[in-house]
Amino acid sequence: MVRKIFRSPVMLIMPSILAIGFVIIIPLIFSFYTSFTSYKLTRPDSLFNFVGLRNYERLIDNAKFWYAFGRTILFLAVVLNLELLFGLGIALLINKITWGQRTLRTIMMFPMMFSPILVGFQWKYIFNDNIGLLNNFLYLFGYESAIPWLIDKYLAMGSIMVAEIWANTSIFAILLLAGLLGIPRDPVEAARVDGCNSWQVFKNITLPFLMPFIFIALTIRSLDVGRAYDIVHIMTGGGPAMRTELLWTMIARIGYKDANMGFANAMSYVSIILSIAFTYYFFTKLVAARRDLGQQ
Amino acid sequence: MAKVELKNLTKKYGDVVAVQNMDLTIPHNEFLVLVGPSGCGKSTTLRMIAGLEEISGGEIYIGDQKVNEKDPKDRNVSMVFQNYALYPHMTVEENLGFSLKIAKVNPDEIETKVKDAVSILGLEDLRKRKPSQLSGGQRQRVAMGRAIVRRPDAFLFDEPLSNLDAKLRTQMRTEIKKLHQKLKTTVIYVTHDQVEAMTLADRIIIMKDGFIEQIGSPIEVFNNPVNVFVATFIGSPPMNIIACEINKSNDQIMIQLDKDIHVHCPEDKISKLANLKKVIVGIRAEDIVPIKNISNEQNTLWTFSKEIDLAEPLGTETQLFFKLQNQEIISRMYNPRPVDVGENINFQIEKNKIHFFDYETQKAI
Repeated sequence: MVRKIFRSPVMLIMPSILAIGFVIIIPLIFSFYTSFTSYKLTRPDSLFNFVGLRNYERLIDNAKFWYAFGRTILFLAVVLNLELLFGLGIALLINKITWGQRTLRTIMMFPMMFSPILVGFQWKYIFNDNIGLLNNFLYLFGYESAIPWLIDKYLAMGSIMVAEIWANTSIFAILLLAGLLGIPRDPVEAARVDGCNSWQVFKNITLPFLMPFIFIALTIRSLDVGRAYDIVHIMTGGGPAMRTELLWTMIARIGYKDANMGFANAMSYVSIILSIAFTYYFFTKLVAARRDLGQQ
Repeated sequence: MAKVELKNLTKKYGDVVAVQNMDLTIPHNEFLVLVGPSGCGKSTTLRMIAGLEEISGGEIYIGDQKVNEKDPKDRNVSMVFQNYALYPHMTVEENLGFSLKIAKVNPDEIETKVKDAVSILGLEDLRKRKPSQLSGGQRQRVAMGRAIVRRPDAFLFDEPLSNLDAKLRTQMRTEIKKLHQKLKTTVIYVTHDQVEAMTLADRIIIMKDGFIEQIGSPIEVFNNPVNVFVATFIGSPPMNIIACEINKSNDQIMIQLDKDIHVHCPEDKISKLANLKKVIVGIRAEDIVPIKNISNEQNTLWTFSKEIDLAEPLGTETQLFFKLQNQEIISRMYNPRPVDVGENINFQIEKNKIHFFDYETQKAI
């Protein structure tokens, strides 16, 4: 029997079994198991303290968690939409350029080259109410009272969104530009001869051709933005009074600061539903958009 | 309902001239074919008329309006593209009705017009399909339908049949011809296929390197090509071209077709050829007639016999290949019989079917 395991077909797929096992399956099973225990990082023996569904019950009753959940959805909605809008605009403009397009494409990617932590620090100092560039700039124009960008409960969220959009709009721009470059010239010209003005060409021809790229970009970015942690952590740390707390800043705080890993893992599993929902939605749209274009 | 007029039309890409000072008037209802090898400027000309290409100089009139600065949408022309250019996300119906929808025609009228176009082109069963579910020929038909629903001032066709297989191409060619007879609109048709040009055109324009080489009816350009280029471009197989020396002996002007073949210059050309040393002789394959016995009527005929290099039987005819002056010559043998390679065959050519071109300028004499 033992021999059978070492037959060549099994041996041939063994590397991938091992890789997937170590990278995905073991962590998955382990973290899922801990979500049913009262595992605290500071007390390793609590790993075997099975508590059933208690973590999940606590979570359902936890208003702060659901606020963070809702805030994350809001964050995703605002950031994705604005990045899409700006990215599309930039892509359309760059697509018009005939000279220096490559250089501009490279320059456009600069924000992506910085670590999100550094982007967070940079914007933190721009938005600082005392020494920040923004308030000092406004001061020059006569706004003498300092605006508490990162302290006000609404402005703080907005400030984080600005930083996030600044850092990542170019991803949209790059992906959509690739889409624009791939649009065949003929249907566009046919539409112009058929009587379309520029806006009608964009609406009726360019946009449908771009749709698959838009949904690919949205899928990628929704996963990315959904796990936002670093920028928020640096800029506000979830404050003021947890007004900028997103799912992962909250989970990280409970898991590592409070060392309450079992509970944090339970939250993570619920949070993942959000990512899956967004991905599923965009992917369905992507498939539909491609089918609409006759691409299978 | 409009004529199209080009005045001194020029297109330059940097220093490269694509179309050079083109003057042309296309009367209403004419089927005009622009033909020429790739890069001759024919498509560029068409695209300038459509407004898809900016013009570098000259003027374009559609109807009585100067359209130089007008957007394609304001020119009231419709165009059929080489690779169909259908809108892949719209059904056949939507593709056909799109231009009308953009023009804000009311839906009932769109419905009727689309129905008309659909029945003219035999697309009834495909109305709800997307382009990806159509065959090449069907797509071509939809592309044409899209052009005809609008009843434009002029139809522009940009090599519309070149993506179809040979059989379908012949079939669509006939349909385009019929369509033109039915719709009675000015058509400007670009192709590199001289057969299409010959069969479809009221008038053919042969272009090369941005210049018009010749304008005329298909028969005119076939029978009286103005230069070697036109002679070899129109007709299939291409006209046989032989550069020959002219010898004068005993007051007679002889043309040396091959090493040992000397023939008399036709009477009517003597005055023109007498002072030349060399001349280009052009003879169509069907005018080099294989015969059993060489006739004695040297007044009207050129005769010679030659060894065959290759015979290609095509059923209705056999094409015989041999060499004159080391140039490959093709002759068409109607009423074919089996021919062996290496066989000596007698040929005769009627003198009045021979074309002469100047050796230097390549122009017809």
